[in-house]
Amino acid sequence: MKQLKYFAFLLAVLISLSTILCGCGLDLPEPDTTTTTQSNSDSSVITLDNLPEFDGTAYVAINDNIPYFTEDDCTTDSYEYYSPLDKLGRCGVTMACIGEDIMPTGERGEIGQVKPTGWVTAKYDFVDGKYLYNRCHLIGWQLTGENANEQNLITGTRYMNVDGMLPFENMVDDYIEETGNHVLYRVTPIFKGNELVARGVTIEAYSIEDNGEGICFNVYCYNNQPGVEIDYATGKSWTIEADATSTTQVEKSDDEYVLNTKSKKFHLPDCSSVDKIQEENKETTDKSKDELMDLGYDPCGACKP
Amino acid sequence: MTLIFCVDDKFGLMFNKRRQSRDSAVLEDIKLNFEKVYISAYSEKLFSETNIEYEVCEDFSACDENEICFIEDKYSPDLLALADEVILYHWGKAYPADITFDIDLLSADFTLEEQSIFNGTSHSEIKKERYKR
Repeated sequence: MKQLKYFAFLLAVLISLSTILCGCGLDLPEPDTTTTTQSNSDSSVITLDNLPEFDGTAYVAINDNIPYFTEDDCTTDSYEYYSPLDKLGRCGVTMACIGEDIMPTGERGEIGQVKPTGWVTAKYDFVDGKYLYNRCHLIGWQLTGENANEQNLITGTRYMNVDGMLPFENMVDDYIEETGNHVLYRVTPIFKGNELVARGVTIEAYSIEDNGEGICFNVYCYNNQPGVEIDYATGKSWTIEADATSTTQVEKSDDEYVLNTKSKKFHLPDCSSVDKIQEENKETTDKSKDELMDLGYDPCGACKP
Repeated sequence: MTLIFCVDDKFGLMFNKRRQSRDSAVLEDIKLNFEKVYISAYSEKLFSETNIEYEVCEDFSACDENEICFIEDKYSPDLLALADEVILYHWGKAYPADITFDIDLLSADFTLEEQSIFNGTSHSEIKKERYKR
Protein backbone atom coordinates (compact mmCIF):
# COMPACT_ATOMS: atom_id res chain seq x y z
CA MET A 1 0.00 0.00 0.00
CA LYS A 2 2.79 2.34 0.92
CA GLN A 3 4.60 1.45 -2.31
CA LEU A 4 1.47 2.44 -4.21
CA LYS A 5 1.59 5.77 -2.41
CA TYR A 6 5.16 6.19 -3.56
CA PHE A 7 4.45 5.35 -7.19
CA ALA A 8 1.45 7.67 -7.18
CA PHE A 9 3.79 10.35 -5.97
CA LEU A 10 6.30 9.59 -8.74
CA LEU A 11 3.53 9.78 -11.32
CA ALA A 12 2.46 13.15 -10.00
CA VAL A 13 6.02 14.39 -10.33
CA LEU A 14 6.29 13.16 -13.92
CA ILE A 15 3.01 14.74 -14.92
CA SER A 16 3.94 18.06 -13.43
CA LEU A 17 7.67 18.59 -13.62
CA SER A 18 7.12 22.28 -13.21
CA THR A 19 5.95 21.77 -9.67
CA ILE A 20 9.19 20.50 -8.22
CA LEU A 21 8.73 21.57 -4.69
CA CYS A 22 12.01 22.78 -3.39
CA GLY A 23 15.28 24.29 -4.30
CA CYS A 24 17.16 21.40 -2.70
CA GLY A 25 20.42 23.28 -2.38
CA LEU A 26 22.58 20.20 -2.60
CA ASP A 27 26.00 20.35 -4.12
CA LEU A 28 25.47 17.16 -6.06
CA PRO A 29 28.41 14.97 -6.99
CA GLU A 30 28.90 13.07 -10.21
CA PRO A 31 27.82 9.49 -9.61
CA ASP A 32 30.66 6.97 -9.37
CA THR A 33 29.88 4.25 -11.85
CA THR A 34 32.89 2.11 -11.03
CA THR A 35 31.30 0.40 -8.06
CA THR A 36 31.84 -3.32 -7.76
CA THR A 37 29.57 -3.67 -4.81
CA GLN A 38 26.15 -5.28 -4.95
CA SER A 39 23.95 -2.79 -3.21
CA ASN A 40 20.59 -3.33 -4.94
CA SER A 41 20.44 0.40 -5.20
CA ASP A 42 20.22 2.90 -7.99
CA SER A 43 22.07 5.25 -5.67
CA SER A 44 25.09 2.99 -5.48
CA VAL A 45 28.01 5.35 -5.37
CA ILE A 46 30.29 3.79 -2.79
CA THR A 47 32.52 0.79 -2.92
CA LEU A 48 33.62 -1.31 -0.01
CA ASP A 49 37.14 -1.00 -1.39
CA ASN A 50 37.03 2.74 -0.84
CA LEU A 51 35.78 2.57 2.72
CA PRO A 52 38.17 2.40 5.64
CA GLU A 53 38.41 -0.92 7.43
CA PHE A 54 36.32 -1.19 10.55
CA ASP A 55 38.48 0.14 13.39
CA GLY A 56 36.01 0.12 16.27
CA THR A 57 34.17 3.23 15.13
CA ALA A 58 30.54 2.51 14.37
CA TYR A 59 30.15 4.82 11.36
CA VAL A 60 32.15 6.92 8.96
CA ALA A 61 31.12 9.95 6.91
CA ILE A 62 31.15 9.55 3.14
CA ASN A 63 31.19 12.22 0.42
CA ASP A 64 31.85 14.86 3.09
CA ASN A 65 28.45 14.07 4.58
CA ILE A 66 26.64 15.26 1.45
CA PRO A 67 23.86 12.87 0.45
CA TYR A 68 23.50 11.70 -3.15
CA PHE A 69 19.95 12.95 -3.59
CA THR A 70 18.95 14.77 -6.75
CA GLU A 71 16.78 17.83 -7.18
CA ASP A 72 13.97 15.56 -8.34
CA ASP A 73 14.05 13.65 -5.05
CA CYS A 74 13.07 16.74 -3.08
CA THR A 75 9.45 17.03 -2.06
CA THR A 76 7.39 18.06 0.91
CA ASP A 77 4.90 15.23 0.36
CA SER A 78 5.57 12.38 2.74
CA TYR A 79 6.05 8.91 1.26
CA GLU A 80 7.95 5.74 1.96
CA TYR A 81 9.34 3.12 -0.41
CA TYR A 82 10.83 -0.30 0.20
CA SER A 83 12.50 -2.23 -2.64
CA PRO A 84 11.27 -5.71 -3.49
CA LEU A 85 13.57 -8.46 -2.22
CA ASP A 86 16.15 -9.64 -4.76
CA LYS A 87 16.47 -13.22 -6.01
CA LEU A 88 18.44 -14.16 -2.90
CA GLY A 89 15.73 -12.70 -0.67
CA ARG A 90 17.80 -9.68 0.32
CA CYS A 91 16.54 -6.19 1.02
CA GLY A 92 17.40 -3.31 -1.28
CA VAL A 93 17.28 0.43 -1.04
CA THR A 94 14.64 2.01 1.15
CA MET A 95 13.70 5.64 0.81
CA ALA A 96 11.24 8.03 2.38
CA CYS A 97 10.31 11.62 2.72
CA ILE A 98 9.51 11.56 6.40
CA GLY A 99 6.99 13.92 7.86
CA GLU A 100 4.97 13.84 11.03
CA ASP A 101 2.02 12.42 9.10
CA ILE A 102 3.73 9.05 8.51
CA MET A 103 5.51 8.73 11.84
CA PRO A 104 4.20 6.08 14.24
CA THR A 105 1.57 6.94 16.79
CA GLY A 106 0.89 3.47 18.19
CA GLU A 107 2.82 0.78 19.98
CA ARG A 108 5.64 -1.07 18.29
CA GLY A 109 4.55 -4.48 16.94
CA GLU A 110 6.13 -7.93 16.79
CA ILE A 111 8.80 -8.56 14.16
CA GLY A 112 10.10 -11.96 15.31
CA GLN A 113 8.29 -13.78 12.51
CA VAL A 114 10.59 -12.24 9.89
CA LYS A 115 13.83 -14.12 9.13
CA PRO A 116 16.08 -11.84 7.10
CA THR A 117 18.78 -13.41 4.93
CA GLY A 118 21.80 -14.66 6.87
CA TRP A 119 19.83 -14.91 10.11
CA VAL A 120 21.67 -17.29 12.45
CA THR A 121 20.91 -17.04 16.14
CA ALA A 122 24.11 -16.49 18.12
CA LYS A 123 24.70 -15.37 21.71
CA TYR A 124 27.79 -13.86 23.26
CA ASP A 125 28.08 -12.81 26.90
CA PHE A 126 29.92 -9.62 25.99
CA VAL A 127 27.30 -8.39 23.51
CA ASP A 128 24.72 -5.95 24.85
CA GLY A 129 21.56 -8.05 25.24
CA LYS A 130 23.71 -11.14 24.47
CA TYR A 131 22.24 -11.75 20.98
CA LEU A 132 24.64 -10.91 18.16
CA TYR A 133 21.95 -10.16 15.60
CA ASN A 134 18.95 -7.90 15.63
CA ARG A 135 16.23 -7.73 13.03
CA CYS A 136 17.47 -4.37 12.01
CA HIS A 137 15.04 -1.87 10.46
CA LEU A 138 16.56 -0.08 7.50
CA ILE A 139 14.26 2.87 8.02
CA GLY A 140 13.95 2.94 11.79
CA TRP A 141 10.62 2.11 13.38
CA GLN A 142 10.52 5.49 15.09
CA LEU A 143 10.57 7.20 11.68
CA THR A 144 7.98 5.39 9.57
CA GLY A 145 6.43 2.89 11.99
CA GLU A 146 7.11 -0.18 9.82
CA ASN A 147 6.94 -3.32 11.91
CA ALA A 148 7.23 -6.77 10.30
CA ASN A 149 7.97 -5.52 6.79
CA GLU A 150 10.46 -8.00 5.34
CA GLN A 151 11.55 -5.38 2.80
CA ASN A 152 12.77 -3.20 5.66
CA LEU A 153 14.49 -5.72 7.95
CA ILE A 154 18.02 -7.03 7.60
CA THR A 155 20.30 -9.14 9.76
CA GLY A 156 22.26 -6.51 11.64
CA THR A 157 24.60 -6.73 14.58
CA ARG A 158 23.53 -5.26 17.90
CA TYR A 159 26.46 -2.88 17.54
CA MET A 160 25.36 -1.57 14.14
CA ASN A 161 21.78 -1.26 15.28
CA VAL A 162 22.47 0.63 18.51
CA ASP A 163 25.80 2.40 18.00
CA GLY A 164 25.65 2.84 14.25
CA MET A 165 22.11 3.50 13.07
CA LEU A 166 20.08 4.52 16.12
CA PRO A 167 21.92 7.82 16.79
CA PHE A 168 21.09 9.02 13.27
CA GLU A 169 17.47 7.92 13.59
CA ASN A 170 17.23 9.83 16.88
CA MET A 171 18.63 12.96 15.30
CA VAL A 172 16.13 12.86 12.43
CA ASP A 173 13.22 11.95 14.69
CA ASP A 174 13.84 14.85 17.08
CA TYR A 175 14.28 17.31 14.24
CA ILE A 176 10.96 16.40 12.63
CA GLU A 177 9.13 16.42 15.96
CA GLU A 178 10.51 19.84 16.89
CA THR A 179 10.13 21.56 13.53
CA GLY A 180 7.31 19.75 11.72
CA ASN A 181 9.58 19.77 8.66
CA HIS A 182 10.28 16.88 6.28
CA VAL A 183 13.48 14.87 5.95
CA LEU A 184 14.46 13.00 2.81
CA TYR A 185 15.94 9.73 4.03
CA ARG A 186 17.50 6.78 2.27
CA VAL A 187 19.05 3.63 3.70
CA THR A 188 20.91 1.25 1.41
CA PRO A 189 22.20 -2.13 2.57
CA ILE A 190 25.61 -2.90 1.08
CA PHE A 191 26.16 -6.56 0.22
CA LYS A 192 29.36 -7.99 -1.18
CA GLY A 193 28.63 -10.31 -4.11
CA ASN A 194 26.10 -12.94 -3.13
CA GLU A 195 26.67 -12.71 0.60
CA LEU A 196 23.55 -12.96 2.72
CA VAL A 197 24.55 -10.56 5.46
CA ALA A 198 25.13 -6.93 4.55
CA ARG A 199 28.58 -5.53 5.24
CA GLY A 200 26.94 -2.31 6.34
CA VAL A 201 24.39 0.31 5.38
CA THR A 202 24.60 3.81 4.05
CA ILE A 203 22.25 6.37 5.53
CA GLU A 204 21.58 9.64 3.73
CA ALA A 205 19.36 12.38 5.13
CA TYR A 206 18.48 15.92 4.16
CA SER A 207 15.95 18.30 5.67
CA ILE A 208 13.79 19.76 2.93
CA GLU A 209 12.20 22.98 4.14
CA ASP A 210 15.46 24.50 5.40
CA ASN A 211 17.66 23.11 2.60
CA GLY A 212 19.67 20.84 4.87
CA GLU A 213 20.36 23.42 7.55
CA GLY A 214 18.93 21.16 10.26
CA ILE A 215 19.74 17.69 8.89
CA CYS A 216 22.36 16.79 6.32
CA PHE A 217 24.48 13.68 6.48
CA ASN A 218 25.76 10.76 4.45
CA VAL A 219 27.31 7.96 6.46
CA TYR A 220 28.25 4.30 6.29
CA CYS A 221 27.50 2.17 9.34
CA TYR A 222 29.55 -0.99 9.75
CA ASN A 223 27.69 -4.25 10.28
CA ASN A 224 30.38 -5.44 12.67
CA GLN A 225 30.44 -6.46 16.29
CA PRO A 226 33.61 -5.89 18.30
CA GLY A 227 35.02 -9.21 19.44
CA VAL A 228 33.11 -11.26 16.87
CA GLU A 229 34.14 -12.51 13.45
CA ILE A 230 31.27 -12.85 11.00
CA ASP A 231 31.04 -14.99 7.87
CA TYR A 232 28.95 -12.58 5.82
CA ALA A 233 28.21 -15.27 3.22
CA THR A 234 26.23 -17.36 5.71
CA GLY A 235 25.72 -15.33 8.88
CA LYS A 236 27.76 -17.76 11.00
CA SER A 237 29.97 -16.15 13.61
CA TRP A 238 32.58 -16.90 16.22
CA THR A 239 34.53 -15.13 18.93
CA ILE A 240 37.78 -13.52 17.90
CA GLU A 241 40.36 -15.41 19.90
CA ALA A 242 42.82 -13.23 21.75
CA ASP A 243 45.85 -14.97 20.34
CA ALA A 244 48.85 -13.71 18.51
CA THR A 245 47.67 -15.01 15.15
CA SER A 246 44.54 -12.92 15.16
CA THR A 247 44.94 -9.71 13.24
CA THR A 248 41.78 -8.17 14.58
CA GLN A 249 42.12 -8.87 18.26
CA VAL A 250 41.93 -6.00 20.66
CA GLU A 251 45.45 -5.00 21.50
CA LYS A 252 46.31 -4.75 25.14
CA SER A 253 47.62 -1.42 26.15
CA ASP A 254 51.09 -0.81 27.50
CA ASP A 255 49.70 2.30 29.14
CA GLU A 256 47.96 2.69 32.40
CA TYR A 257 44.97 4.94 32.77
CA VAL A 258 43.19 6.44 35.75
CA LEU A 259 39.42 6.23 35.70
CA ASN A 260 36.89 8.56 37.21
CA THR A 261 34.12 6.02 37.69
CA LYS A 262 31.61 8.77 38.46
CA SER A 263 32.16 11.04 35.47
CA LYS A 264 33.16 8.11 33.20
CA LYS A 265 36.32 9.85 31.99
CA PHE A 266 39.78 8.31 31.79
CA HIS A 267 43.04 10.16 32.28
CA LEU A 268 46.77 9.72 31.90
CA PRO A 269 48.33 9.05 35.33
CA ASP A 270 50.12 12.41 35.28
CA CYS A 271 47.03 14.44 34.31
CA SER A 272 46.45 17.34 36.68
CA SER A 273 42.84 16.26 37.07
CA VAL A 274 43.79 12.93 38.64
CA ASP A 275 44.61 14.45 42.02
CA LYS A 276 41.16 16.02 42.12
CA ILE A 277 39.27 12.76 41.64
CA GLN A 278 37.73 11.61 44.88
CA GLU A 279 39.27 8.36 46.09
CA GLU A 280 36.02 6.43 45.99
CA ASN A 281 35.63 7.37 42.29
CA LYS A 282 39.24 6.67 41.33
CA GLU A 283 40.46 3.45 39.71
CA THR A 284 43.62 2.47 37.89
CA THR A 285 43.42 0.17 34.89
CA ASP A 286 45.64 -1.39 32.22
CA LYS A 287 42.75 -1.75 29.81
CA SER A 288 43.31 -0.28 26.35
CA LYS A 289 41.76 2.96 25.20
CA ASP A 290 39.39 1.06 22.90
CA GLU A 291 38.31 -1.25 25.69
CA LEU A 292 37.61 1.70 27.97
CA MET A 293 35.58 3.46 25.30
CA ASP A 294 33.60 0.27 24.75
CA LEU A 295 32.87 0.36 28.49
CA GLY A 296 31.42 3.86 28.12
CA TYR A 297 34.45 5.87 29.21
CA ASP A 298 35.52 9.00 27.31
CA PRO A 299 39.04 10.43 27.17
CA CYS A 300 39.78 13.51 29.25
CA GLY A 301 39.86 16.62 27.08
CA ALA A 302 42.80 18.08 28.95
CA CYS A 303 45.42 15.28 28.94
CA LYS A 304 43.99 13.65 25.79
CA PRO A 305 45.03 10.04 26.62
CA MET B 1 30.66 33.51 33.27
CA THR B 2 28.00 30.86 32.94
CA LEU B 3 28.25 28.43 30.05
CA ILE B 4 25.27 26.40 28.86
CA PHE B 5 25.65 23.24 26.79
CA CYS B 6 23.30 20.53 25.53
CA VAL B 7 24.90 17.08 25.43
CA ASP B 8 23.91 13.55 24.49
CA ASP B 9 24.58 10.31 26.35
CA LYS B 10 28.25 10.38 25.30
CA PHE B 11 28.68 14.12 25.83
CA GLY B 12 28.40 14.82 22.12
CA LEU B 13 27.59 18.37 21.07
CA MET B 14 27.46 18.63 17.28
CA PHE B 15 27.63 16.50 14.15
CA ASN B 16 28.55 17.79 10.69
CA LYS B 17 28.30 21.41 11.89
CA ARG B 18 24.74 20.88 13.06
CA ARG B 19 23.24 20.59 16.53
CA GLN B 20 22.45 17.06 17.58
CA SER B 21 19.01 17.88 18.84
CA ARG B 22 16.75 20.62 20.08
CA ASP B 23 13.80 20.88 22.41
CA SER B 24 11.55 23.84 23.00
CA ALA B 25 11.37 22.88 26.69
CA VAL B 26 15.08 23.67 27.05
CA LEU B 27 14.58 27.09 25.51
CA GLU B 28 11.65 27.65 27.84
CA ASP B 29 13.83 26.74 30.80
CA ILE B 30 16.54 29.18 29.66
CA LYS B 31 13.93 31.89 29.31
CA LEU B 32 12.65 31.24 32.82
CA ASN B 33 16.10 31.40 34.39
CA PHE B 34 18.09 33.98 32.48
CA GLU B 35 17.34 37.51 31.37
CA LYS B 36 19.71 37.51 28.45
CA VAL B 37 22.01 35.01 26.76
CA TYR B 38 24.96 35.38 24.41
CA ILE B 39 24.91 33.07 21.41
CA SER B 40 26.87 32.51 18.22
CA ALA B 41 25.50 33.34 14.77
CA TYR B 42 24.78 29.64 14.28
CA SER B 43 22.32 29.67 17.20
CA GLU B 44 20.53 32.84 16.14
CA LYS B 45 17.81 31.18 14.05
CA LEU B 46 16.94 28.92 16.97
CA PHE B 47 16.66 31.82 19.39
CA SER B 48 14.90 34.14 16.95
CA GLU B 49 11.93 31.78 17.11
CA THR B 50 11.63 32.45 20.86
CA ASN B 51 11.14 35.55 22.96
CA ILE B 52 14.42 35.03 24.80
CA GLU B 53 16.57 38.15 24.84
CA TYR B 54 19.86 37.34 23.12
CA GLU B 55 22.93 38.92 21.61
CA VAL B 56 25.12 37.37 18.95
CA CYS B 57 28.73 37.10 20.02
CA GLU B 58 31.45 35.24 18.15
CA ASP B 59 34.07 35.45 20.89
CA PHE B 60 32.68 34.14 24.14
CA SER B 61 36.01 34.63 25.88
CA ALA B 62 35.30 38.37 25.70
CA CYS B 63 32.11 38.06 27.75
CA ASP B 64 32.00 39.44 31.27
CA GLU B 65 31.91 37.26 34.34
CA ASN B 66 28.19 37.73 34.96
CA GLU B 67 27.13 36.93 31.45
CA ILE B 68 25.40 33.79 30.22
CA CYS B 69 26.66 32.03 27.09
CA PHE B 70 24.77 29.32 25.22
CA ILE B 71 27.42 27.32 23.37
CA GLU B 72 26.77 25.13 20.34
CA ASP B 73 29.30 25.39 17.48
CA LYS B 74 31.93 27.44 19.33
CA TYR B 75 32.91 24.88 21.94
CA SER B 76 36.49 24.96 23.13
CA PRO B 77 37.89 23.36 26.29
CA ASP B 78 39.70 26.67 26.90
CA LEU B 79 36.37 28.38 27.56
CA LEU B 80 35.89 26.27 30.66
CA ALA B 81 38.84 27.99 32.29
CA LEU B 82 36.86 31.24 32.15
CA ALA B 83 33.65 29.82 33.55
CA ASP B 84 32.55 29.80 37.16
CA GLU B 85 29.30 28.02 36.36
CA VAL B 86 28.35 25.40 33.79
CA ILE B 87 24.86 24.19 32.99
CA LEU B 88 24.46 20.92 31.14
CA TYR B 89 21.20 19.83 29.60
CA HIS B 90 21.34 16.07 28.97
CA TRP B 91 19.15 14.86 26.12
CA GLY B 92 19.11 11.31 27.46
CA LYS B 93 19.65 9.80 24.00
CA ALA B 94 22.59 9.04 21.72
CA TYR B 95 23.23 11.03 18.56
CA PRO B 96 26.09 11.10 16.09
CA ALA B 97 28.88 13.40 17.20
CA ASP B 98 32.10 14.84 15.86
CA ILE B 99 32.43 17.55 18.49
CA THR B 100 32.30 16.38 22.08
CA PHE B 101 32.22 18.09 25.43
CA ASP B 102 35.41 16.44 26.60
CA ILE B 103 36.03 18.10 29.95
CA ASP B 104 35.56 16.17 33.15
CA LEU B 105 33.92 18.92 35.20
CA LEU B 106 34.26 17.06 38.48
CA SER B 107 37.99 16.79 37.92
CA ALA B 108 38.29 20.41 36.86
CA ASP B 109 37.40 22.12 40.13
CA PHE B 110 33.64 22.09 39.53
CA THR B 111 31.12 20.60 41.89
CA LEU B 112 27.62 19.50 41.04
CA GLU B 113 25.35 21.96 42.86
CA GLU B 114 21.95 21.10 41.52
CA GLN B 115 20.25 18.50 39.41
CA SER B 116 16.70 18.37 38.09
CA ILE B 117 14.68 16.51 35.48
CA PHE B 118 11.88 17.90 33.35
CA ASN B 119 9.82 16.69 30.41
CA GLY B 120 10.80 17.81 26.95
CA THR B 121 8.64 18.13 23.88
CA SER B 122 10.58 15.60 21.81
CA HIS B 123 12.53 14.07 24.71
CA SER B 124 10.78 12.12 27.43
CA GLU B 125 13.14 13.44 30.11
CA ILE B 126 15.82 16.09 30.06
CA LYS B 127 18.28 16.20 32.93
CA LYS B 128 19.64 19.58 33.91
CA GLU B 129 22.83 19.84 35.93
CA ARG B 130 24.33 22.98 37.40
CA TYR B 131 28.03 22.92 38.22
CA LYS B 132 29.82 25.64 40.19
CA ARG B 133 33.51 26.20 40.48
